[in-house]
Amino acid sequence: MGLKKSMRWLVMSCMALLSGCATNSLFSPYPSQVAEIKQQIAVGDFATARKALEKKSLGPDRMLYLMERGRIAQIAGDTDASIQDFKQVLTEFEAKEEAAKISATGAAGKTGAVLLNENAIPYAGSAYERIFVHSFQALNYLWADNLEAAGVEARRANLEQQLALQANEDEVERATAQESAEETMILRQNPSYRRKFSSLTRLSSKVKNAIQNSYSFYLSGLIYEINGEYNDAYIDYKKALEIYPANHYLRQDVVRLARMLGMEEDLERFGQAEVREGMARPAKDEGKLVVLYEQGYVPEKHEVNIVVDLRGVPNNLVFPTYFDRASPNRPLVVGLSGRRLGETETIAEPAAMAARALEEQLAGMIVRQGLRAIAREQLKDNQMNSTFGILAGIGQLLLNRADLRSWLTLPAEVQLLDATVSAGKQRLTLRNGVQSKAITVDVRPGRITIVHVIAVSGQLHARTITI
Amino acid sequence: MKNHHCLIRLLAPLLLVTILSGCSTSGIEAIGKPDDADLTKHLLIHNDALAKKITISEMRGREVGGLLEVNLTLTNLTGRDKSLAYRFSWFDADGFEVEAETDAWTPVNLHGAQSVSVRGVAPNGSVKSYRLNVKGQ
Amino acid sequence: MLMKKNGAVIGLTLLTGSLLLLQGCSNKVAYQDATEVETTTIDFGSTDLQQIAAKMVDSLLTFPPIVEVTRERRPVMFVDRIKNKTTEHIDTESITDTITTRLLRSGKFRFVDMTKVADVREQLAFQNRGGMVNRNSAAQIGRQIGAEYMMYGNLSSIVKKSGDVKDVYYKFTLKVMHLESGIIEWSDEKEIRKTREKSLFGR
Repeated sequence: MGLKKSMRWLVMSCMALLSGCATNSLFSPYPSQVAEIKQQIAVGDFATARKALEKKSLGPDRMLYLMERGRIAQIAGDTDASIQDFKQVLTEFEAKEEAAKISATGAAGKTGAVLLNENAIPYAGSAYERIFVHSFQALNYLWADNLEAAGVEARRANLEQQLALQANEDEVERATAQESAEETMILRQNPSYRRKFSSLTRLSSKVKNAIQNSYSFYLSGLIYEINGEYNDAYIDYKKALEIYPANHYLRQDVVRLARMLGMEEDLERFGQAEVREGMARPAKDEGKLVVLYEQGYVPEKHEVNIVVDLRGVPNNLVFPTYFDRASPNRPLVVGLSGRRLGETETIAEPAAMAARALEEQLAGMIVRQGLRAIAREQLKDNQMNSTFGILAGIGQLLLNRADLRSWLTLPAEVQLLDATVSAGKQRLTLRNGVQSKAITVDVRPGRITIVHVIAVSGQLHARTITI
Repeated sequence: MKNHHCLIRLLAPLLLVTILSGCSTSGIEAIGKPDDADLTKHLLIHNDALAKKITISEMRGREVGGLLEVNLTLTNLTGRDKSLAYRFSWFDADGFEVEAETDAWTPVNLHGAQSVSVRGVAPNGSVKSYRLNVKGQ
Repeated sequence: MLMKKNGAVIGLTLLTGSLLLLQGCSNKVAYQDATEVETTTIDFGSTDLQQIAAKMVDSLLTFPPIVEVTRERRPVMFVDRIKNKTTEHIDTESITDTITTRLLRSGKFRFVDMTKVADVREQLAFQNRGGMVNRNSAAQIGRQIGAEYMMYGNLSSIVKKSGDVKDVYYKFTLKVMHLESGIIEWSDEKEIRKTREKSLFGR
């Protein structure tokens, strides 16, 4: 009786264990879960969309679901709910960061993943996602009329960038070690591998790295400027400009503050005409208008499988990747009181940043996939250990899936327009070639008016504030 | 084998007690009045182990704007770094504590053989004497 | 087989036993000394607040020119605000609350209530967004509320991380300005540095 019974017991208990994780992405791929939610956003049913995430925001992948939920609240214009969700996300990030090097909970997830599937590891978030959470939270606090908290989040976004860049340098060393691993070498030479990852490479090549975020620098510059701390604002505008040197709104901001602060030597890198025309210091009856335009969604990860010979055995390996077929990004044409003010220009490309982040993880993934394949082969061959053989079989059938999780309600691209305009209540028109919207803005002398526009699923969501 | 067990069982509570007393508030205490600088009279030692490593000296006091200001020196007698915390308490002429619980434990790190001055200012003008508590961290 | 079974039973008992133990350890509430040195996390905490307040109050009360001014009378002061320039959400008002309470209880200074300051600020249509009010508006507010001095300052931080060690440095700066003349009568700083090393084992 012994063996059969104990085997059944083992399989059952294993199933029970797995069902405990059913709220995460072991059984249903993450992008298809979010696709449903995006449909609800498209018809403006934010309440249902947020509710669908409620139960999941308590599970092991809560960080991910809370990021989505916080962003949905932001699109819906529910600042308080968004603040609460992002607060929790940031607590999660901090807890993950402070967790002990060898932790019981972490180790359980990881050993499971070595045998089975990367989806079993609780979602830990990427540095680029964390930086966006801080930046979005800074915006939220601006709308919640808490300038000091907005400043804290903006500085935090910059600090996390700096720390992540440092950590990345250390990571590069480890990655090069993995690059030279046998599995990586074999795979890199595989023609189907190269074909299947070519679009990922194309998408990721748009940015220098996954971390440097011009949008976050611009926002902290803006918040410093609101606070009258022009020197700090100048430094952050300059950092933003370093990442997008062609953005002429950033150029004008830098020129304007350089003149104001008497940074003559910094002006030398700009053309004479540009310096002359550079946005003048607002006159007494003028204010600053800022349009932040976040459009679309970052692409979702797709699974590709590659058959490769490892130690003489053909193996089916699965990887996540991005397909570069995002709809082209259109600028937002902004008009004020019937006059054309200009077009928005790119300040951040989260889509490319996400691709870059995935590419950086790929080497490690290949090694793990290779090890897993070899481990499974060995288990299958080992007839003596039939229980494990069956389990590993179940594992392979059910769970040989790529990890497709990532924050999917992030915008694909962020664009910017800022200008000095005359004060007064005015009609602001926004057109992106597909949709258009008109809102009333109240520009006040010497103050800054921010218009936050989010374009998703064929709709323009806009909110405005004057600080 | 059995004997060992017995010994451990006997010693365990004792060990526990010493460990606990090591971390509790008991430490070294200095009680002083500004006009009486004789230190030896005022040093109370509740923890001999700590007193061998740390000492309080040079108790000075003066009046600044009607408030008692005191300055003491903490010295690390060992060659190792030591993490300490200290706290002042203040008493009026009748020996009642003044503004109890306002002063908090202040952490201080001492390198081997290093001395630091700790300074305290009475919370108001009624203070006539003080107490400094020092404990290990 | 029997042996195996026994082993399993023992294993199970051990497991449940340890689970019970773990459960017994969680959710324990205990009162602690509020003045105790607190090192639960590296974030700004009670010990930092207490250290800052103690240093600032001691320094201000023993600064000779201030001693001179407060010898015969109790000047009236108001607190502008402490600007938070760190990367943490810190309630800086709670720091100034502790400082003002201690100064008040020293019998050397008197304070104007914050809500009154806010009212006057609104009356005079001064924005509070720029943090420290500028000198002219400060003097104007001072006249309105009958204050002679204004207290203001900022809290900044530098965070570094290398490997498993996180290093945080805080600098708290506080100033007292004579409102009519715009002269800074007193200023002091408190620096705090903390490090946290990631533990090897844990939950």
